Amino acid sequence: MSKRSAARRVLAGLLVLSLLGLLAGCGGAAKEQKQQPPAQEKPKVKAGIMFSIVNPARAGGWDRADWAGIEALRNEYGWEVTVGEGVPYAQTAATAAGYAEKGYDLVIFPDAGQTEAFREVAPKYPKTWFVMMSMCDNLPNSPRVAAWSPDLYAYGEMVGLVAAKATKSGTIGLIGGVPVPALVTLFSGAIEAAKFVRPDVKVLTYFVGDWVDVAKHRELAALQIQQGADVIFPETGPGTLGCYEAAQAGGAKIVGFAWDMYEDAPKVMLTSVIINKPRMYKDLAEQFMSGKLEKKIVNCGAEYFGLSDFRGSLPEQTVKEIQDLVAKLQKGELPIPVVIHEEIMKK
Amino acid sequence: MEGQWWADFVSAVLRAATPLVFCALGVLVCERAGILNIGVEGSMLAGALAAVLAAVSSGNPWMGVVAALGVGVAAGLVLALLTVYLPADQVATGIAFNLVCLGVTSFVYKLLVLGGVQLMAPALRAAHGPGGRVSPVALAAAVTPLTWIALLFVLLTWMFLFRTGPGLLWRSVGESARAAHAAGLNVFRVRSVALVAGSLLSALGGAALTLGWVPTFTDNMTMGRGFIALAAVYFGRWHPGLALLACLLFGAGEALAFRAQALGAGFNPYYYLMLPYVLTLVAVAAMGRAVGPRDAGKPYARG
Repeated sequence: MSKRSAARRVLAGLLVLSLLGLLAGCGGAAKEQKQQPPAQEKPKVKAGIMFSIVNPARAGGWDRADWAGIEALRNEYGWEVTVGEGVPYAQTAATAAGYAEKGYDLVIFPDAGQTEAFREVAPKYPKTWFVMMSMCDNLPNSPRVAAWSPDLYAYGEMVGLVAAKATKSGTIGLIGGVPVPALVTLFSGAIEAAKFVRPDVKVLTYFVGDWVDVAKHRELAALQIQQGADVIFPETGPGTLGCYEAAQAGGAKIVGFAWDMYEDAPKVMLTSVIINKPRMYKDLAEQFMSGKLEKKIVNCGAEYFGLSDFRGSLPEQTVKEIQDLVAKLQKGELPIPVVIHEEIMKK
Repeated sequence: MEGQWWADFVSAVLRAATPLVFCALGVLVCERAGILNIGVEGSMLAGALAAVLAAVSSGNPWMGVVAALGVGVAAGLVLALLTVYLPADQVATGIAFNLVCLGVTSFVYKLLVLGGVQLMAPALRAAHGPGGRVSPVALAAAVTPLTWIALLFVLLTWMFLFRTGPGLLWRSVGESARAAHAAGLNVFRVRSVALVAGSLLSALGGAALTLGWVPTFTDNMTMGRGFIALAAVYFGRWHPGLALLACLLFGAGEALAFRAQALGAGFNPYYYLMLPYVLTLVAVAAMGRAVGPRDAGKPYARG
């Protein structure tokens, strides 16, 4: 009895001490903040954003592109951006409402999975701007809402052009995280563009079932490689690493998603099809600060997309052909049909 | 081509089942000594991170395995202190331990990977691909050494628990700690050793996930595999052989889910992706009611 009681007391004491230490640390930080003289005459713009995953700066391409946008807001416009990480979709509305309650000027949703929260919270706080930085086809009933919505079909077209030009086997693989309609749109664009470039191309489209399980991602990419795919485009989250590993083991190449993913897998990265999210965030900042931000959806087409450096992954001639095709796509000069392949996700 | 398909399928099943087998054994040895090892997920996650970090820093994947074992022992000692010597509630402690491991591993990994570039560790590779035949020799070369170590551990665990004197004493602690104490056994010591062994095996499961499958680390990369191992033990009625069967069944479901998409039967991918879970559910239901060690989960205090 006495030994165990003593151990319990010691543990409880340690817990209390560590909590006190934490509180003291917080107090210290607050004091330091108070001692700082006011550096800005005008109050900083305060924006709140939340990610469903942790560590977005190092996650999949989509979140990294958003992170670059946040950095632009902070460094180029001096905005104070608070980032919530690992916020489950079920908690997004509460987090967004928390930002609005605390007087934030804007609340930003970087992920189409947060659409429900966007629709739920925006009407309750008409004085706060709510902005969706992902696919959006209609806005909530509120005066201060806007969206920068990437055209995923056009994005898929760019992926398809690159993959079809790069494949030697004539088979390309598309891997999606979760089977959602947005991915059907993206993959449809990729299929049609790939066929436009190479009519005999075979396109494999599979879904992992989640965005984060690296082991499952590896299995699925390995399966596509076994079926002959030598170029793979993974549109997933942090689990993408598994695809890179499978590509490295199986001798395939990867087309990176949304941001330049070269550093994550230099041996297998063909190029990345970049979504210029920093430009979207800068558009937002410019319009907000000039008072021109209005209720609207900005459709971000092919002009918002581009390719990262190929870094010698393909012969120069092939790279030039791809770049020519991409330039034509951006000018709207490629007659690629718009066909949505619903069979990707049969009911 | 058909032989190739089956060879790929079987090696995928073994790959997916290996981490689960280690963790299931980790749960089983603890429960046989009367301890609910709910912290299996946390130990696995900690083992996965330790394995990657050690393999990257040393350049040798086996050093990663050694590091995972070390972390497993440490996790076991912490759990033993909390659930055997204090003794705190085993379920609550296990859940708290999992949450702590989730936070700590993410935090440590974030600290160590400051440059933003993902770590890729040297992996324990199979000798070669599965080839076109499903034969023991071909499969032996198509999976990593950890798979064979896992299968060996299943045999050793069964032999220890059901064919040796110390194994009988071990099980007696799980069935009735008081009776075991009355017979002169040190229940605290047996349960502590069980937790250390169980956590060590769970951490080895984490190493199998990273070094034997995908040689990198991401936040929460075990994705509930520890809990699946927990279910495998219940399905396997606390018997190593049946638990192995459950792990293989789940692995088969996972491998089949992906291959069914490739075969293109024309259903929504969600139906295929449900396969491993549906298979497990059906198997558990088919096994009927299982009764585990009688004292599993009950804190033991002298006097």
